[in-house]
Amino acid sequence: MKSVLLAASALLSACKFGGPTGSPKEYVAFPDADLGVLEGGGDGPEPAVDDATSSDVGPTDAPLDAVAAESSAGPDGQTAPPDAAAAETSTELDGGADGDTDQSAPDAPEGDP
Amino acid sequence: MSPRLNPTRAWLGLPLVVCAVAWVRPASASPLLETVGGVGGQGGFNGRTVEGGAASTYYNPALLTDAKTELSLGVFILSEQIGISLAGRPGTQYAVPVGIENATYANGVPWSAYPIPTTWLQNGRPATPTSPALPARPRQGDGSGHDLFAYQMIGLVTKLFHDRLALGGYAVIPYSKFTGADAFYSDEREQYFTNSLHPELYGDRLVATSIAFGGGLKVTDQLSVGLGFTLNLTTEAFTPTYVSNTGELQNILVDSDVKVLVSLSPHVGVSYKPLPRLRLTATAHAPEKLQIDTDFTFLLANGVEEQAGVDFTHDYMPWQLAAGASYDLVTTSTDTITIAATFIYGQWSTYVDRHSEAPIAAYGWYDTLTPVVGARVQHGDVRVFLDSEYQPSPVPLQTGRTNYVDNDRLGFDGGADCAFSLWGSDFRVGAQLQVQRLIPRYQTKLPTPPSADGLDHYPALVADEVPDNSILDGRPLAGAQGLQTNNPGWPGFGSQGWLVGGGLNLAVTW
Repeated sequence: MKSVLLAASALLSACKFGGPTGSPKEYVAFPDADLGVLEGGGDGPEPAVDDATSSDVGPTDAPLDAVAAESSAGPDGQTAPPDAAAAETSTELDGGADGDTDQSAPDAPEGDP
Repeated sequence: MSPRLNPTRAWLGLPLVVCAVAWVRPASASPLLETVGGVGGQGGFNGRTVEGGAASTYYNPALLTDAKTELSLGVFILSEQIGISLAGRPGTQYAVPVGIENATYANGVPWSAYPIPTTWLQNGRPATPTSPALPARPRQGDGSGHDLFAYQMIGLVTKLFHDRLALGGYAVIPYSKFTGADAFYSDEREQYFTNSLHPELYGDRLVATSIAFGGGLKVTDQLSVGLGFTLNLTTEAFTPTYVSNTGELQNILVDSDVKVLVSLSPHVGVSYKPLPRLRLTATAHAPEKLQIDTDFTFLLANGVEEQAGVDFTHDYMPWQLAAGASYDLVTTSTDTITIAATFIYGQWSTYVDRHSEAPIAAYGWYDTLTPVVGARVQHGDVRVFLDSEYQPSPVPLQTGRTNYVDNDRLGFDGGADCAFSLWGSDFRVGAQLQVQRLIPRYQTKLPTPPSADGLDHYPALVADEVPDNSILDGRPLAGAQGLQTNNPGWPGFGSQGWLVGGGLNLAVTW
């Protein structure tokens, strides 16, 4: 049964051609741009946001732990330093999904508000 | 045996068809007809391969030569139930803070765009002595995808020149409004409007004006060719505006110059029967779109005049090429059993969204191949058909900045009709039912790397709307580090749904 499903899946995926070109993680450099860089990372006073509201879970109260974990874990690659950025026009980060992999979530929340 | 035309003469007409295809600019749209298939008749989802009465005018006008002369009317109801679910935002550090209106990059240059504080979006902002209250627009609070549509189908087929030439007209017109077009952004810019996601290929595309007319020519008893057009409207709006006081925009003066143009988009079809039981078909439908061009001029009291324009593209349908075959398994004096299959190629990689923007290359759309299979059974005066189609979504998983919502679709369409005579006239009454499942799909956004210089180095990923190097009053802006976004699709979203439709139709034939 599993092989039948796999074969059906492969057959249906053959109904698509072309699609994305390039990588969403492609680094685009702006050699002539200079908007300045803060010293020390820009730690300022506490953000002026309302904790009770800005942590909006949205109309669907089904936060995805995996999503939260992945997002708060930070980027999986680093921005090229400004000097390197000026020297090259694009580069690609390593790792992570490439955007083409099906990410089915069986427990995905359903329905509109 | 009907008289035969000289095939050589008939083929001389083909260059005219080709010229017509090349000359007419794309300006109309028929996503509704592509989604629901033929209404009335036996075409169903296989309308490009099987004669479907007046509906063949759109799907394959070459098949009009096999249709009976008829006037048909029908009512079709379609329920769209598409659910979109957003993943919860994981923490306050991703929120756009309040008080950023005067923030700049580290070198003092203003941002290119200023987002709305996240808390204002979610809860609104109370009125102040200088400004009225801002209503809340929570994520997905103004979504779409749940609608019930009713349509009037009108069809006509007539024959000329000993049935060698058939002319047809076919229209599916929404009762609620003649046509509809709702534009929305598919990224963080939608925060300024509905702050919600919307199905990309449904919704207002299901109330597109869908009127087709055309003709089919029986070149030989085995070969027919057809040419048709879909009819729609192109709107051009020019609104010169006088602004006496920029602080009192409610007092602006506006004129309008609106033009509504009728335009055409062509399609062609061929039907060939190499064997008495076998039919081969091919069709080509040119790209279609409903274009709305809007231009504004703003004249200020100080004499400064500026101009801006926005173009919208609705109901875009790409080139669609199809090939199909049908075969009569059984043919007796009273019974016929036919199987049919059609493959439809859609060049969705050329898609243009409602704001006339093409998807970014890293998330470029797929071209698709839609298989359709079905069967028809005729027993005496009763005919029954059942079709199934699989429409793969042309939209890649939206793990980046854009939020085009779409799903693979598996559909079934069935119907039956019965011929009878009444008061000396021949009638055919039929019913139809279809169910289409939008297969569940979920996507999680990729993380956006930090950018110390405040530039958007990863334009395909979710944009950091508060640059990390921002300053306010000479000090680093609080809450600017890392990703802050109001992209309604972040950190992920899912969608699924159903399309369920049905209708009744009545035709008088002669």
